[in-house]
Amino acid sequence: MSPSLPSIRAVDAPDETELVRAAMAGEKSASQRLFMRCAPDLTRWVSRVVMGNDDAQDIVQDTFVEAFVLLKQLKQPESFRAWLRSIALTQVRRRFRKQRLLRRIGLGTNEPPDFDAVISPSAPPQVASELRQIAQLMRRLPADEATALVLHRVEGYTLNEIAEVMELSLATVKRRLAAAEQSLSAHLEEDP
Amino acid sequence: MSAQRRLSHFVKSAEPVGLDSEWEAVNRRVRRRRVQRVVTPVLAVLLVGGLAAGGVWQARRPELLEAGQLAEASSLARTVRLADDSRLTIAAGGALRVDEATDDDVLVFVERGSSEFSVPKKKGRHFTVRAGDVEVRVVGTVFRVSRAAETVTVEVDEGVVEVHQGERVVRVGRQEQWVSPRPPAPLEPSDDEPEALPLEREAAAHLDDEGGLFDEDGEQPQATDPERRLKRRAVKGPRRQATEQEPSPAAPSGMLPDSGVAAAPELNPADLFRDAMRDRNEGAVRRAMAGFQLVCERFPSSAFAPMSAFEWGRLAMDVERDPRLAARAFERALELAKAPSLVEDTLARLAEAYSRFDLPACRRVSSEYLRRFPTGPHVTGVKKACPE
Repeated sequence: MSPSLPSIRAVDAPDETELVRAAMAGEKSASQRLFMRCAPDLTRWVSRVVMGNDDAQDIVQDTFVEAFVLLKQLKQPESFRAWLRSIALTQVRRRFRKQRLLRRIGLGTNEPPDFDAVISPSAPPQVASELRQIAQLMRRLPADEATALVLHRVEGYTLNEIAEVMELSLATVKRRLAAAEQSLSAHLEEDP
Repeated sequence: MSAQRRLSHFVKSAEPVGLDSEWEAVNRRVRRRRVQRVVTPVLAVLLVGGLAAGGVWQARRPELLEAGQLAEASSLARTVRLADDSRLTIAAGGALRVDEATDDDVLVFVERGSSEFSVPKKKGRHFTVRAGDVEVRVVGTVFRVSRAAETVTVEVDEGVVEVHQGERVVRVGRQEQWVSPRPPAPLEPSDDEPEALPLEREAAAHLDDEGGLFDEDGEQPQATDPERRLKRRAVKGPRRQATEQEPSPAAPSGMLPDSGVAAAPELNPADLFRDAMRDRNEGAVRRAMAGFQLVCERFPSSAFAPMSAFEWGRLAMDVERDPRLAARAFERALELAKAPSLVEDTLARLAEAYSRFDLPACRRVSSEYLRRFPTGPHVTGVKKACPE
């Protein structure tokens, strides 16, 4: 095990919490620096959650707009990233609901996602198959169930972590997840 | 790293592209959203408030009554409005009928009960309320007209109204009241052989036997104080059947002026006048005008002739909107009228009629009026009719 490297902080690089506080105070440059710091990580995270079922960059842009408009309501500046992900998940669920509704009334696309663009070529076949099933099932599940399923199955969130990021009660998360798992099992049996 | 997390390692994640342009887009949208957050609630409040106010206004705005409609109030008073924004409040049990209802002309009949009128002032607009044979002309005021059978009461809260009944014109001002006299009792046919009477005597016999309105010579009496109530006695005397009437040699009014032909025995100026008045009250204007014209042209010496001519002219002017015909009728009334009050009213109306199409004639008549009645009630109107 290699010795832990000392963390090197640039003297002029402000702490993220300080940036958040500065942005809350109205400093435009602080808002921009926050965006530049957080956008890449958020984009990657969102793209995994939606599993090719939506445009991650659009969702991220919507998320930051919402976050900067509501920034003054943030009670704990040090929890900015967690708060940002909650907002992003709300955007994701909103998009899932919209797409599901459009598909129901015949206006949405029924094209499955491009699995090659979603699943890494290094994924073992079983993993790839499972990921493919989840990606397909997400299009049919209610938004909350699809989100809970991805967070649990793909991102590995615990039930409490899911409850926190989705801003739901633990009991609700359990119900959503149970329903999603049941649908996944049935889906796997239909199309192994 | 938990086993559950392993799946995420095999999901490709997108890398952000064009962070600078993305930031510009975010910044622009944030600014727009901040403006919307302020403006949208304000617009929503204005919209909701406007809709609510409109709804309330609509709910509170009285029902619009149009020409030809009858409005009745059963157990509760009812308020209606007319096209000229007048407000009519009908007391419980009352009813009124609208004959005309435009921005410039309003004619309302009080069928029964009491109605309060709130009439905004409007230049050139004619607002007339009729109840029985009483006519109230309005300039802009608040007043009440009540009708119980044939008794009509006019009470004025604000402004001034003119009350016309027969040849009488009374001005009722603020906080004043006018009550119509008891109508003549219906004349029953006499069992006696009807006595042949000169038509003038016949006219007198139908009216005030003490010389109230008409004296025995068929002359119209001097005008009483217009602020007082009119008092008219019940008419006495037998009603002559038209078929039984024998024309008297001393009855020149039975002769047509030029032809020398005796009037048909069935024509009776009193009956004709009464029928014309009824037609007028019932809104049969053309028939009423024809009846009044017949009386003043076929029976010029009749006691009813001057008033018939005046009524003919008034209907021509106010209802038919024919100032030339009205002028002709008023000129005839001037020829026939003897009572100063009728002369005064006729001159004023004649000036008004001429003002519409013959200014020199208007000035001539106005001068005549101002010379004869320098303090009369129509001085202001006459002066305005045809300014120099």
